[in-house]
Amino acid sequence: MSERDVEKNIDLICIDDSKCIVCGACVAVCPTEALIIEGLTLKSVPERCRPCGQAALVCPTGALRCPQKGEKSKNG
Amino acid sequence: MMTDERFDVVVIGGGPGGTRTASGVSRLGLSTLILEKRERIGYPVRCAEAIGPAEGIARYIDVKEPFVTSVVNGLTIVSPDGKRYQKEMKGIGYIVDRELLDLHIAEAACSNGAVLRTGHQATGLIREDGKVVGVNVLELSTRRKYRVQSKITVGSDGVESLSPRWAGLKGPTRVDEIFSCAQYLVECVDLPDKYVEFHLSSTFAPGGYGWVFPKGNGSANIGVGINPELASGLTARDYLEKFMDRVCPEGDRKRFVCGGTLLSDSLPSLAVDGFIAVGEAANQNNPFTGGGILNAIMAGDMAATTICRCFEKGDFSSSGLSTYTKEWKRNEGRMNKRFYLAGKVFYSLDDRTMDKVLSALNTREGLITRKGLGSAKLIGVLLRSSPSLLGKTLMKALSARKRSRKTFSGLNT
Repeated sequence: MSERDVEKNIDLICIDDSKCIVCGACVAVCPTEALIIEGLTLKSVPERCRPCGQAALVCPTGALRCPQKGEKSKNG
Repeated sequence: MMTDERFDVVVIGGGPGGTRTASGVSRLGLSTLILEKRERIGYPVRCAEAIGPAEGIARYIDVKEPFVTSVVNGLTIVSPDGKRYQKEMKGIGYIVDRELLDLHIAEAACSNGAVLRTGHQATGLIREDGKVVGVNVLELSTRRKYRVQSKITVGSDGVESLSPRWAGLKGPTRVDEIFSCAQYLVECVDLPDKYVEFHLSSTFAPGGYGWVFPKGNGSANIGVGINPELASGLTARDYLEKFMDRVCPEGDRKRFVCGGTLLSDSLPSLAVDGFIAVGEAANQNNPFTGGGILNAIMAGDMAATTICRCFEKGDFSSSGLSTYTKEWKRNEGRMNKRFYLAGKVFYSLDDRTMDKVLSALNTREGLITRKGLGSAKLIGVLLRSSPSLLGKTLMKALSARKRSRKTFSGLNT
């Protein structure tokens, strides 16, 4: 599984590339445009992520993870 | 060094709404550029592929084309307690091949003179004196950045649209106003052909519904749309597995599709100076069912007509473009508003109340009209079945609508 943290040591949204099929549901609900689609790739803009967890909530495949405050993110 | 190009109209997004708009404006001689961030039009498919009513489609598209995979002649609603309410309705709609349909509409636009660029992505709007005067573009394969200047920019970038947010027409979608959806294309199914099925139950579709759409030749799109707020830690894909176990455990699963579909009320305004929003980007899909192909095509035609008039007058202002907003509201927009309120109430029902309501609705003639579920009748039945719930939910829906009527200034990257 290849999981990308948008920034090390910060509890931001993580994208699991093996599950993401770039449907755009997360982009629709992200209040800060911290998630963008480029062609067929979902990318994140770390400096914009709050993180509020809404994107992870709507993801149909569970490809997004929003660590709870205080929880170590995978690469953290 | 960033080069500049000029077109009369630039369309962001190569789905049915955008390409239909492009087709209309390019037919009248306006230079038109369509930007599609994906490499192929219509691919990957993010759609349950049902479209109706048939007579509505026939006004816009020649249904003999190969993109129609099956004709739908009726529908079945299955309540949480398993009761099936069936209604024959000849010509209620079609199941289509979205990839072929999208290609068909895009080819029509190109044969009218529109230029289509796939793998080119809009990254922001260009403004002058507050007016939208073009688009910043990124060519994905080379990372080349360039600018396209235009008199009118059309934002038709679908469910994940950012362009109407950049233009200040809308904000982010509320989590409770998006169906999180997952679907399999299933083959070798032993299911009733020619009828679409809608299954209601919090077990496999909390706050939404499951569907079985027969595609012909023993195949079907089987999927679920859920309210993510009611999902108790599971994803749409998890619920889809439960639904498959219930309706088609033996089917051969060929293709997995997932995505989101908006259930928001129409935007209060669909245009600002130099910019117009079309299709799901403009919340124009049906907020009760999530269906939006025909709505996007209709909106594309309305937008094209308005744009052409604006070119005749040389007026690209918000007020010149407002004809489109008015026309939309007079037609589909009015009905969508009713569907929005009906959906807010309907999808908040618990299973027991849903059973009662469907049973009560079944005894009334005309519950299902050629336009779908009769929203006014639905509200009438709800009023009798559960007046307190209806009042509470309607109040919630109206206050949500009020909140979403604020305009937003998006980030212009």
